[in-house]
Amino acid sequence: MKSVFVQIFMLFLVFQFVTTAQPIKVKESKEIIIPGGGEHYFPRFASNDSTIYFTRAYYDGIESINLFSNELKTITSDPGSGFDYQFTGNGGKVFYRTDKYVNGKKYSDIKSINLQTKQIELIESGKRNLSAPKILKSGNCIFKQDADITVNNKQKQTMQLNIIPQDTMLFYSDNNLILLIDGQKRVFDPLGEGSYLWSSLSPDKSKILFTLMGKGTYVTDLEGKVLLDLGYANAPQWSPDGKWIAYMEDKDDGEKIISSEIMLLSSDGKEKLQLTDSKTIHEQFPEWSPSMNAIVCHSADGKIIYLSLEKNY
Amino acid sequence: MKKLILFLILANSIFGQDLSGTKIYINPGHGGLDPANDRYVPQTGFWESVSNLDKGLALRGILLQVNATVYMSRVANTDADDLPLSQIVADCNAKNVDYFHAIHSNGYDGKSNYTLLLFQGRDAAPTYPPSLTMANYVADEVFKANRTTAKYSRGDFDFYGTGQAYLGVFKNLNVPGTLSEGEFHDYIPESWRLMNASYKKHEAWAIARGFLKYFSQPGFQTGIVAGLARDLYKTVSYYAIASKGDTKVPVNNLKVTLQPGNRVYQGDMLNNGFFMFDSVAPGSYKLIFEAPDYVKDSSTVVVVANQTVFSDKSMLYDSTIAPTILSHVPVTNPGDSVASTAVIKINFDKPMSTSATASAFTITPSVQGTLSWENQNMTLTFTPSVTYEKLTTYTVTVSTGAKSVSNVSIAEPYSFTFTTKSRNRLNLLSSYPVNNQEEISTTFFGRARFDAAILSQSVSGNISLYSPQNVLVPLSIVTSIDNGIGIISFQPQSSLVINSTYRLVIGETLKDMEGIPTAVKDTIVFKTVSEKYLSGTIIDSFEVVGQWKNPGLNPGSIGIDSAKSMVNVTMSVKYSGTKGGRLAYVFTQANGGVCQFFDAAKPAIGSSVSSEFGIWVKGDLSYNILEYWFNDESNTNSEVMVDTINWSGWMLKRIPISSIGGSGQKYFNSIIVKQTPDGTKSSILYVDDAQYDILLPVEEQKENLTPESLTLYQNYPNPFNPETIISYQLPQDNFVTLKLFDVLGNEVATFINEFQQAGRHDYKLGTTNYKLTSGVYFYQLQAGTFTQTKKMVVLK
Repeated sequence: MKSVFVQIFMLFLVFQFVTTAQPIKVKESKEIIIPGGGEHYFPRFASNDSTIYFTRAYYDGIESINLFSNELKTITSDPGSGFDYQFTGNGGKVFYRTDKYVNGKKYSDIKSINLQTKQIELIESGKRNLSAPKILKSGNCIFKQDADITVNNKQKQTMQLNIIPQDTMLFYSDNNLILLIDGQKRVFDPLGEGSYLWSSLSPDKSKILFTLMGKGTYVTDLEGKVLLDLGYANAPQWSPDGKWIAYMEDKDDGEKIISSEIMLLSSDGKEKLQLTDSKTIHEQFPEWSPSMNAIVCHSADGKIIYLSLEKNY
Repeated sequence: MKKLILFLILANSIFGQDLSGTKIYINPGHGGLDPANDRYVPQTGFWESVSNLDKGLALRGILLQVNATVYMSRVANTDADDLPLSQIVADCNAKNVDYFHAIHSNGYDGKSNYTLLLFQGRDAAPTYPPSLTMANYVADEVFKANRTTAKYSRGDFDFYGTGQAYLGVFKNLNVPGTLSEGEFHDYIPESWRLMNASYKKHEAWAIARGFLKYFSQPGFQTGIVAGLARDLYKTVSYYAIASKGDTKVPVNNLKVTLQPGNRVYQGDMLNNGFFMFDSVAPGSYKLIFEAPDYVKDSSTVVVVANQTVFSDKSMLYDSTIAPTILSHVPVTNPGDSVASTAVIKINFDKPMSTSATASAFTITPSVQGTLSWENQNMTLTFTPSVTYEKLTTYTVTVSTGAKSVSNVSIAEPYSFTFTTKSRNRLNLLSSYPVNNQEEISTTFFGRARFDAAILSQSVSGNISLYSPQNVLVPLSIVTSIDNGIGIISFQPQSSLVINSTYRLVIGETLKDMEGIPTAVKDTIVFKTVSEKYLSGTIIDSFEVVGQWKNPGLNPGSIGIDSAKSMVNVTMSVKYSGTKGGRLAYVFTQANGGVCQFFDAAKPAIGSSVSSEFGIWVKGDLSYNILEYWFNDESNTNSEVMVDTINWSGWMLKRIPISSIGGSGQKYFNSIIVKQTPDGTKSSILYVDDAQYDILLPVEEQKENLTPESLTLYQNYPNPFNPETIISYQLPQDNFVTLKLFDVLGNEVATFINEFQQAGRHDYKLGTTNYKLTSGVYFYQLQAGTFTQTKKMVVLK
């Protein structure tokens, strides 16, 4: 088996911390070379560590590469599909939104693709103001159109929100978040009105992580009580075990990104680690692997960076 | 009344277009007046973050009236509005809009002023094809509105030459987007226009027209009347593009009335002359232009829907109005005084007749000077050619003979006074060397101290050193200031010639920071050292630190900073060899400090009372005291004062061994620097080649001159042991022999037997080399037909 790692080359110095007791450290930092070249963005994992999914510039399509077989697959080429797509829990299906423009206005479809059978399902078609889809525990698709939240079952039948069994979801709204708990909608704006970016529930669904535009990044409980103030921490991501938050510290000069590093903060706020330290590579938008053995991110110039992690806790 | 009602009806119906449900995201750049990502133009007070926001808010207002849903990344300009690009893009993506547009202005060399629309991708291959469409629409409209020199729609891959995504505001965006640089804010006429609120709103209208086209909407049903009012004749002092009319001075405080409707535009004082009426129903209108001191004027325009019709106006200055003086300098409050070189400026509000106004200018008491004009003959400048008298009150008067170019006199005489300061000369306080000083080191550095800080730009040509042949000696010059005292330090770039007279000239145009000159030339004559030394027995060449101890270890040191006072050797400053001694000292008190550099090796220096001990010391004008310490065979200490360190450059600082106390063999053990009240608290003393039995002094002749006759000098020292110097000079090249004979006439040695060039020659004779015993000897010089013999005595 020809490993993709054979083809990767060391672009960066291994960034290791001197302190041996460090709970997480980077063993190795590498660029994943995608056959065919080009720029690639927003790498992420699905249900296992073996495959990285990514998109091209401006979210046109979803592709994957197997880190061991080096097999490159095109999941879809639909425009806009690479933005905020979702996998079902077992990784067998991906849900996404695809966009087209008519007289300047955006119209969207929501689709799903079975990654084994390649079967495509059209869930919603030609609608305005569709949010990216989310997946319920049941495997049903849920999305927002304007202020309405719609649930479709596997047969694309619309269901009532109040029948969603014990599930918790977050949706972006213009000046707040919409928290959906057991089929009940609630406005969630613990720090007042504003743009709540990059929001997510903790793995145990007991906490909410978000960045309030122009203010900072926070962790609150479901009632909105602030548990942790991360300060300037963009694109934050819970680790799968909920013990860490990965984020980027990016800077720009008003025209372009001039630096960006990947950081970790323990979810109790007590320990902060810097994972990258390259002056020429600006790493952005970290994503954890399911096993927490790696973090992937992209560089500002469209390279996929793989950070192999060593856990000591 | 009927016309007014018609206008109001039209004004309310102009927004027939409908962008209902269309979601537009406006990004007016970074906020917060942060120099790291904002752009500032000091000549006009322009901040790009302010201008972009004003345009963005105006655009939002227009788009809201056609029912668009508009989001903005910021609506204020605080530090909290200085958002990172990643958050701006994420916010736009999350809001799921139809289009993204960033508003900026450009900057380059102050001379460019074109319209640039940027989108993501290649010029002809945008990442989102609609972006190119929108870029072209907006470029067309903004170019027409701002009347810039050109328009461009460019992809950032190509515009920045990266071949890939460059602009951070487009990266990771999930909708089509553009960025408009409507104009160049560092082009001063445009920068002033961007300070006008209506000008920025006009650009917003242009962008809004682009949006209507982009979303396939009909254009606005109303039009805009706009234009620039400028002076017919007066030209601006900054760079301006003539083809755009920008060379003429914009009219401030402009009032424009639009009829019918009687709408009034009141302009600002920000040097732009811009006016605008928006939301004007199509039809014919009359514009009436008014401004202070300008002749009222008018024009007619025909307004077309969804367009701007321009009506620029060149306004004629009202020549019948008397000119007035707006201000003058110097302006003084009671008790103030001005520099003795102060320039007088009088600012008129109109271009003046230069000849009549110059004749009307007087200053009492009278001062020689020149009158000049600037600012379109609206500013009269008097520059004194001599300094004003000290502590004198001057009265400046402009009589009613001062006239405008239209031959109208000022209404009444204008007068003001100012009093000069107590100084009108830059005075030399002290110098090194002083006039007629002798024994100056050939490696000296000089210093001139003045009663005020020196204007460094005035030094060139005003500190000059001339050789005996009146040739300028290149100098290295540094200016500094110490407690208000201006200091000029200078050093010849190569060693001077010994026993020669030099001339230092301080020019009369050397100035202090206020421009006050020395006014008179000062000449300082000095002479270099007259003696040349040959080394005696060197006990320390300071090539290594050896057993020298840092002063902090020596109990003899008092009041020093032990961490900073230390002995070392250095390659950078030396008298001979490869290194010299470096003695750094820092006193911690105002006076009385003693810094002892102790040599534990304690080298012997003999006991001959006729001998001398010396060290080459590079003086630094520290004005502290230099001492040598010795001890004798019974270890009795003896300190000998050498000199106050009041010289600069290398000097062999000697003392007679007879001045050392004690008896028998003497041993050198320390160099001491004693702090004086006037001395420098910290300095570095460089030393080299400590020695005794110094062979000196040999009377030095002008080395560069060919002697007129062959001369054999008496050896020195004589009697001698173990060394002496035999000197002679040749008037021309010749074959030379120098031989030694004993009292019986036997040849003992031949020292020289070779062809030599004309000039002075020195031969160092050591007794050990020739195993000379005590007694009388004769040395004989033969050159051509010349032979001369002298006697010498060797003592054992």
